[in-house]
Amino acid sequence: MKRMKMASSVLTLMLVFCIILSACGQKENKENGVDDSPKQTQDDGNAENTAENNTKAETVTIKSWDSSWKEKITPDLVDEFEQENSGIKLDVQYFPWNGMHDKYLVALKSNSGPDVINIAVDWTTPFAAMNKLVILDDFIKADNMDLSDFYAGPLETATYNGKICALPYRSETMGLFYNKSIFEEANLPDRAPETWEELIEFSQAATKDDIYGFGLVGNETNNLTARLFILVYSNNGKILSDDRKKCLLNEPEAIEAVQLYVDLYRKYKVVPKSVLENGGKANRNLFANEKVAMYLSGNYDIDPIYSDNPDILMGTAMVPEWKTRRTILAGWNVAITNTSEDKQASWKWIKFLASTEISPRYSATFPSRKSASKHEKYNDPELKPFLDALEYAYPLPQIGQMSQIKEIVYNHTLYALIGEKTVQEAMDEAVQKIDELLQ
Amino acid sequence: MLKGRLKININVMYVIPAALIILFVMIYPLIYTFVLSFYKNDLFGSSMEFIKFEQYKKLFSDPVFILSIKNTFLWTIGCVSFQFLLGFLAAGVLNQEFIKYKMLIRILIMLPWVLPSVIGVNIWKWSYHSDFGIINGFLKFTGIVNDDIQWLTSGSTAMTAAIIVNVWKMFPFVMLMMEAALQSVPRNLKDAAKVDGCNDVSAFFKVTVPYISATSLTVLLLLTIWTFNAFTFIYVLTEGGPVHRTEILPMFIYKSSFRNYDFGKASAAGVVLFSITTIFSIFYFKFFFKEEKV
Repeated sequence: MKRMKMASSVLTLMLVFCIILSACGQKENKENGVDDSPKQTQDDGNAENTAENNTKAETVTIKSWDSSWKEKITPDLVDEFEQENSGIKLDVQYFPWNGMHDKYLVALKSNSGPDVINIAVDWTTPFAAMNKLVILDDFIKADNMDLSDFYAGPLETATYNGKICALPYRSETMGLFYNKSIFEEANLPDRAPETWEELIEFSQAATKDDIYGFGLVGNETNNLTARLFILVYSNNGKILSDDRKKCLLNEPEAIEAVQLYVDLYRKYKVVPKSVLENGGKANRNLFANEKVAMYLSGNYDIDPIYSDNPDILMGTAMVPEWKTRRTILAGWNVAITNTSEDKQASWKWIKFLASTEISPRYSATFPSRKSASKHEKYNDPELKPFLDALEYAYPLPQIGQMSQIKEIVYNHTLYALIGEKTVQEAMDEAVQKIDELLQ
Repeated sequence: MLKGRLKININVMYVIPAALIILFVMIYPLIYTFVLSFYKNDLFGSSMEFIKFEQYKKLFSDPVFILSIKNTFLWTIGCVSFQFLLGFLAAGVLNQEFIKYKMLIRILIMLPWVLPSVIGVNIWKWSYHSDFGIINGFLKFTGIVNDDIQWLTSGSTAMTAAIIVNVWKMFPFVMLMMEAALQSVPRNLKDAAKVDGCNDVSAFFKVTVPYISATSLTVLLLLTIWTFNAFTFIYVLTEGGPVHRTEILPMFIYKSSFRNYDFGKASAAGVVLFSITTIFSIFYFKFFFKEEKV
């Protein structure tokens, strides 16, 4: 009995403790939410002064989170940066793609992130909506940075509520890869299909035995929705209404696009049976092993394909046209987190990474600045279609709920892909869920 | 009296570090999850809002959540029964005297158990691949099927495929435990039963079963709890797909929090998962371990 009493009192204590803690958490959040921007302007001036003092007195260390595929590139840039800015030391940590988003989310949510963070464009708005990214407008004004040098699309991804909260440095969009040997064997012309109709035709001609015409993505939320939305936009469809209060994926144009996506697999049968297991990388492997004749992906796949299969004869082209030509813009931004202790030094580092000289080296694909696209790195003819396509690339609507919307669209496209629901049914349900989310 | 109370038992001091660690890494998150489940807490709200049981109402009207509970039971029952049967059979065979090279066989059977889950499961994932998997290759080569089977991506086979992987991974554990239990049954008791007129079958039920029942029950309880919370298998194999067909509760919780950023809903689902396991364990101990105490 005594023990029971002890246990229950300990439990009650813990409960009270929890409630107090969670209440504290709320307060903190509120402070961040309300105070961040006005406080920042004051901070700014202070930060500049202290930064000046600091250079003489002591060095500051900036913690920067980067992606694991930068491990060979970033160290050189760090050396250069540290030589230019003697008062600042960098501590860069690298994270692999798997689990990266979850880790960043948890770190930001619990205010235990680094000073500078390298994030995919799609994460920028959600993180900014959480008030976890520092608004950069004052820094930009103070340094007279020319924003018009950035492409409009990437800049849009870095803007939240009309304020810039990250600097874009890497932009890319998808193109079409095709296997010239398979094309020749199937008596197809030595060029990529120009329209989606032609793509179906070519795929049917190329499908034979265990070789399939087209590598469709049926796995991984981001990879599937990116390709599906390209189709929707190419057919003049829209994902959301202009006021972003309604989802338009069950309008006829969008339905037609999803139907084509599903038909490639179910009706035309030009897609490997493993489609629901195949994400971005799986399709690249299929293509490199000459099991699919065509697939959609970014230019970052070129090197891995040649290293897997040096003898492959392939070509690249822009994504086929439908009613119009339009693709989705993807890329990466660098941002300062709200917990950064020295925002001025952090700003110097991200400004350096997104500069005309450095961003082509830092970016695994293309830069986000017009002035940087003339870099010698981009002279390769295989890269040309991808660079040309940037002109047709627009980012997805920048709203905080985009990840959830993608998840819903992904799940409902799968219903149609496995044949459990018709495209109309699946999209009607998806729209209902998305509309609920947007309320 | 007061003096007596203030005197600290030195033995308590030894337990305090461990107790504190458990308090902070187990009890505190547990209670905090419980508290969170009464708040609306997603990414975009700047503050948490107390909403009483709203989260639970939402949860139980979500068809995906209901499906995930069904899936969890199907998954647990399927896995545990086959793990146990297979492990027990293997132990029974290995316990026979005429089997040679026992050590070697034991090591070979133990391989799945010692292999890290993620590696084992990835090997299976490749074997299951619809176009290039070794399983379809074998089935087609031997003429058992003509067309590729989509093991992990068709609604009718995905759960079975996942269960097979979990059974493969866990049955060696059952075998190990049960073999040890079987070896503890005294020979002379069995012989005595036979002298008294039992045949092999009735000797098994009258002598062996009572001896190994305690181990069996512990093994079953452990298996059930492990399987209930198993995350790696489903996460690596199917991520709950195709369209929620293999989405068990832990997967649902993961998706709610890290894909849909609905931490309140995820916490509520976590509380449900915790309650189910707790209720199960309590019943289990009450009913099955009664005899032990007496």
